[in-house]
Amino acid sequence: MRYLRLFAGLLAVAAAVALSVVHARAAGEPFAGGDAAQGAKLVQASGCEGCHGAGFTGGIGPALVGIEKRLTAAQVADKIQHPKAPMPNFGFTDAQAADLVAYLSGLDGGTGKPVVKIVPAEPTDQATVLVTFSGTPPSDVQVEAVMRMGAREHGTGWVPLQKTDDPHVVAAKVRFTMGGPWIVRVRYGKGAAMDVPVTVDG
Amino acid sequence: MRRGTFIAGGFALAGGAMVVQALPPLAARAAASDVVDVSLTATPLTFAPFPGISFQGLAYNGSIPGPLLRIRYGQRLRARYVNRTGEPSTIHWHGMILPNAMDGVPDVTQVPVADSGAFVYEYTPDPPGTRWYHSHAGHQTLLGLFGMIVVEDPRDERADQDIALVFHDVPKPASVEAALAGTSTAPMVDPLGSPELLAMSPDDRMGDEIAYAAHCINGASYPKASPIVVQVGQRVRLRILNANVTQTRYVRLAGHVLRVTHADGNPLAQPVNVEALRVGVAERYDAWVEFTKPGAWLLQGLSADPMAFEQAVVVHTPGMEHATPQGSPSALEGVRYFTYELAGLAQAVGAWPAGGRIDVSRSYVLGGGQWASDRWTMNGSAWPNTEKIAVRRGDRVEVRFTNKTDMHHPMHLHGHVFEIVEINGHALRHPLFKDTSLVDPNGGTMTWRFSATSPAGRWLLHCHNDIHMMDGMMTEVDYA
Repeated sequence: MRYLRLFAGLLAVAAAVALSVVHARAAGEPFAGGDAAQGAKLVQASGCEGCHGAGFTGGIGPALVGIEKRLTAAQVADKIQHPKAPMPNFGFTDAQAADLVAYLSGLDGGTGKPVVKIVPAEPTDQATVLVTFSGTPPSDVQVEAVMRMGAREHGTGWVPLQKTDDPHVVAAKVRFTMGGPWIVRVRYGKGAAMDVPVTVDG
Repeated sequence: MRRGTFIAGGFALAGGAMVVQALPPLAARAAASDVVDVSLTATPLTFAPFPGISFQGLAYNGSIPGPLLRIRYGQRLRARYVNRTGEPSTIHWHGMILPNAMDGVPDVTQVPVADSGAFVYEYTPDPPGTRWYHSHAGHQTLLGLFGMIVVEDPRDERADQDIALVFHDVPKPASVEAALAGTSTAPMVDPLGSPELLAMSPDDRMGDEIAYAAHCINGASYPKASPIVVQVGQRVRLRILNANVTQTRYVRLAGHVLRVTHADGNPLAQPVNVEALRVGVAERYDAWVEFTKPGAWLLQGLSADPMAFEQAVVVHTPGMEHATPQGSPSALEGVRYFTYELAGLAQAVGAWPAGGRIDVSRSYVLGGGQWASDRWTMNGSAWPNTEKIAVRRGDRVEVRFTNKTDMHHPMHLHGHVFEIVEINGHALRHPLFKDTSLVDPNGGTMTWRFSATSPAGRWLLHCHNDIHMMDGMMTEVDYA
């Protein structure tokens, strides 16, 4: 065999399926109980991330991470089946809409944790850090770029994140002073900081 | 004294995107001029068709794709090329029968144009139809050096609108380097129909796929691409080019039938009505659409295996600019789409294509593509050690391919129009006249015939997947 087999993607699908079970809504609720694995296929085929951003953290279309906390399944299905331009109408059936709802409802893993996105993903000297919350973002979200040098860490200083057009997303620019492996560190409230590794092509 | 018409640059807009637009009507052009002068300058361009995408590419006249060139059949083209890419480069006029020295193949038909150098390509474009031009140096086409050239055929039926649509995708730079080394972990995308593909896990990797970061029509990503406005009652001619150098595209216009009249710019024996077009790498199709009611629809480019929505542009009637566009499902089950067999009226297996004498016959087994092997072959050899085809002027030539790899190969012959007479054992009742054709994977066969009536010289025959070409799947037809 000539193929290199990667398992990461498979695990991600498995995780999505498992999470959809966690998020399954009570039987009888409209558009509940869809198949998240089928929803994942529809999402892939329809190119949803092209507009809603990698990991559904927002792009031309709104962020969908945590959508289940903002809208009911029926409301999400309605937006899928009766979209407003520029979102196309792909003519999804009720069953397909339920599958999509099941998939999208599992995007945040049910943790309620915000999702950190770095644009561009492979920065050269600076990047925009976007943090998507399922609800209203707290007012004290901060970000810092950190470089590890052996056991020591060199931080560039904490920067507060600002509101964006999307009520669920706050953002700030960070600068990288040299190329190499960096960590983008986000903190808010009294919780532990979240670290996102990023390679800077300096 | 001859009067020149200068048409370069007028189609390029700021920001590197060519807006989807109807071709200017003939009356707006200097129809009497014998020579059309074009100036094409290649430079680096930071191409940003989508938020978060900033691609360090190359561009003709500052736009990706390069300017749309339009010329009347019989006029002479004089294209002054200035290379400011920082590396050697050429322009290949894909699908044209022209003097060999104008064919634009580095170190085969010309000394490559050095950085800051210039070269004048001058010839009379032939045959008429939808063709294109692109660099033939390294992977510069992948970086953005391509554009469409339309040679108007005075015999064509009149369209209410004549619209050029160049499909291309912006690569992730790291995946290009990995693909050239055969170690890319980008997901495999290939046309339908391969049993081996069906047996693959979605997580398998081929090693030579390029991952794409953004997907464009005329240099713009959906929904940023300017919509195409059509009137109810109009008959619109779409000229479609797949300038992606590794992937097939399936093209659909939601709610509409495409009447396909030309393949690679050459008329079909009879038009074919389909719901979707399969457009292989470097292929062109002319498809006509009739708009009978108001609405807004997506014209989409889909990739296959698995089907996925890649690029799109909205087509709408006046007053429908804010309407939700109707899209097509990303699936081909039950969808009638264009194939060579459909257009060529394939016969049952066993019927061998009729024809007169064959003077030169050559068979090639397409092979290679092992993981990290960095080698694609014809009869076990890689360019420049592949077996060449020697012809004499006037010879009737037959070339047969057997594809032992598990990928399609868009095989392209320079300087000729060939006839596809056989596919996978099916003779075609109406041979298809083309310059590029997809050979099916896993034992797929295809037979071409052509007459050696082009100007003498060395004419390349190669896979138009840039990675496969650079890794050896190339030979040449040599005139004695």
